[in-house]
Amino acid sequence: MTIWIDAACILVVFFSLSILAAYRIGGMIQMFAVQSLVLSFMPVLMHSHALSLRDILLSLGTMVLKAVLVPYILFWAIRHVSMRSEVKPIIGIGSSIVCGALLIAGSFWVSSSVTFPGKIASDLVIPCSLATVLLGFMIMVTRTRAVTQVVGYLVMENGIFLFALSLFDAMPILIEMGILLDIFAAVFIMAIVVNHINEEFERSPAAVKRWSKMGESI
Amino acid sequence: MEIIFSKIWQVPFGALSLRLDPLSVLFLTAITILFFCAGIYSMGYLRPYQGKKPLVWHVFCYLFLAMMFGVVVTANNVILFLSAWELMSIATYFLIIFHDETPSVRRAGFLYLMATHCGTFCLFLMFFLMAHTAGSMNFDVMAHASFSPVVAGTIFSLALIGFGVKAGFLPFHIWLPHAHPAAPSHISAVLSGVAIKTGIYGICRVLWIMGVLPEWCGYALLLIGVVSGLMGVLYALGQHELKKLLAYHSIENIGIIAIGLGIGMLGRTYHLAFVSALGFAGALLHVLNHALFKGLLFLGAGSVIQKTHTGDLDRLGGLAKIMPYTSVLFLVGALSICGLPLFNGFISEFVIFYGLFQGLLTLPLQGVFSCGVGIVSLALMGALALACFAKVYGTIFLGKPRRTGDSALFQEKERNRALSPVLREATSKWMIVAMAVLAGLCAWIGLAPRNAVRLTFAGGEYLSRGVLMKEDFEKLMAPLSMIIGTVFIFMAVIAVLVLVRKVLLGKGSMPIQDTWACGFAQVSPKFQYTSSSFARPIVELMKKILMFSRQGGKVVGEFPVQAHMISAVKDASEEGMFRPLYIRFIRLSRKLDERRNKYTQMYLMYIFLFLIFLLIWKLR
Repeated sequence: MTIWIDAACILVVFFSLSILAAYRIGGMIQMFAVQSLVLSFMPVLMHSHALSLRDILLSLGTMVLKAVLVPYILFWAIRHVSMRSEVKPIIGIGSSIVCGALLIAGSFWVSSSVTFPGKIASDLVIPCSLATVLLGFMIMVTRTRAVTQVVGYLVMENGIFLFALSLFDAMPILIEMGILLDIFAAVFIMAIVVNHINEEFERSPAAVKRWSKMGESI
Repeated sequence: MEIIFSKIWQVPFGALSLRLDPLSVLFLTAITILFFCAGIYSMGYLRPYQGKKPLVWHVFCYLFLAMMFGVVVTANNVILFLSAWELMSIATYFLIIFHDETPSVRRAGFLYLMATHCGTFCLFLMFFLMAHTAGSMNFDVMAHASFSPVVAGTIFSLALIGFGVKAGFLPFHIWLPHAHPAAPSHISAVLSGVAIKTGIYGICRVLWIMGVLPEWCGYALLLIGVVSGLMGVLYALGQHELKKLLAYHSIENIGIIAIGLGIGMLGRTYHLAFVSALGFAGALLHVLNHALFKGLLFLGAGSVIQKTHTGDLDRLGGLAKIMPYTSVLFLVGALSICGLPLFNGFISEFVIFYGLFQGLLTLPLQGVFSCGVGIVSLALMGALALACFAKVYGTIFLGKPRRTGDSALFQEKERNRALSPVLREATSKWMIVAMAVLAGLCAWIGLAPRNAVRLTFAGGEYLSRGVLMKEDFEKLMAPLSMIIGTVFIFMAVIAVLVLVRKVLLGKGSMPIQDTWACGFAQVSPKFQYTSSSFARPIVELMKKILMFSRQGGKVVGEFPVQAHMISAVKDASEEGMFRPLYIRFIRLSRKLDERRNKYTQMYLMYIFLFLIFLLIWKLR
């Protein structure tokens, strides 16, 4: 089973990197959905020797929420607000990828010295989750649109989710469910806020000017 | 000698440890008496605000503040002390901004909050340095640690700044003359009587913890005391606002207390237990006494302001006829603060003087010099305070009302002359009772000082960390009882003279007439000596250090027409030190704000880089 887990881990990092490299917001969201789908198989894969109801529930919950509902809301937001579809990066796509590669290498380098209490499903889990967190952060730093910030935040959360899965036995399912609910609420609120900001901008062009000076755009 | 009460407290480095020793007993006494009296007073004072102001919140803050004062002076743990200290500062803030509809009150409250937090910053540094050196957060463990001279000096300097802001040492006193007039009167009484004393308590506690301090510390405290005392009373002379004047007098009295502490420290440094105990005992007794008489004066000022709706000395006058009780009680407070025999101010100043003279006899040369300076300046402070209170009492209670509005009030009272004095005064009886209790305590300590002096002498002995004989206390009491005996004889002589006068005059009543006005036909109340003109000779003498300014006031021609005069004394440390500093600070902040990067991503980037730095630093 380890090979499947390794494959899933590598896929997660790969999708994080491709979100960083994406030109269009729609593409970013789609790739995030696929990443979450891959991630949602992880609980089942990790505990395949003794599958319990709890693993299946968590798997299904993640799948429904992160691979379907959240991308749906994000798509709804960009459609509803009629924003332009470019990502508007601060640094170019090429250099983003180079930086991302460096971050991945760095996280492998750093995590080789982490000693972990207890058994881990695969050696790749820790460096991959760290790399995903850092890449998510990188997306937040280098992309200027409101929705891309949210996507970066979600990628980061996926990294944390992957890390938390390796602690699965130590972590009550209630907390994991709570975190999922938080994510859902956060994205939901973001959609509403973006919608309201858009309405405000339609009313006063001066606000748009001020907003763009602050380095943000819808 | 001391009782320690400990319970487990789930706070890192904290312990719910309270201590009761002679030092905290003394401060607790002052706190309890003043909070009780000011609370009774507020029952009458706050009545007009019923239904207009959130009084429940005010009362809550008041009681909470009382509790926090209690914790501050009994805490035995750094964390507990600092928590109580901060909560105390915040509760005080809410009490000060009672009249928050006035912008100046809000500004004063904010200034207080800023000053107290700057002070607390120094306290944090000081306590952590102390705890680091001693290896414990508990005061009783710290007291057994030994500090190197450099560390001890640093801790003492930080204490002087941190606690000095609260106590009102020059030049950190600037919040005091703003906050005291802004607060309602019973809060001013508590602020001046107890709140600034917590600063003194802090310094005493540091002195107690640090058994051995470098030599210069004592001289420094003595110097601060002399400067604060003299400047405080000089500034007070130049004020026209009653409560602001009283606030500057608080600075003067803090100076007197600091002189006492300074001589105590000098005595301790040179191992002269008696000098040290006298200095500390005098300072502690003055803490108690100042709480009593300054509380009384502020409460009296509150009654005056409640009746006339102004605290401007040059618009008041003749109130002794309208408010007979308040005027007598205010007089008691004024006599006490001037340090005249019969009342308590004299006792504590006598103990400090006695300590200074003992120091003059036994200290080495530089100590003799500083004791001489202390004696001279303490005497000068007494004289200037007397001048200041002659001015205050004379302008407010004697003479005639200076405003037309007050004349109407005055005439109405004249019509009610037949009524009993209580009805004539028409001040709430709660307010009178509270002031009477404080005045009674002032007189009690003044006339029978043995108990109070013994209590504070125990505190002084505790602080001096020396061993004293029983005779030492009697050595202090002997001259004191002699002076009080003389005072009693003097009083008896005066009483006899009054009796003789009454007998000689017989039954016929004396006619009441206006003062002779040098032949002027139309006499106006404006002819009276004002507070500014009374203080002018002294203030003009000190023009250079007081930043005294005067405009107008020239009277020309044989038949002069209207003339105006405005005089003002500016606070040098506020105008010359903190205001320029503040302006420069604001300018710098503006410049930095322009330079600031306004991209959210930049801030995220800083976090990101720091995260990577931490990962590499901690994991590699």
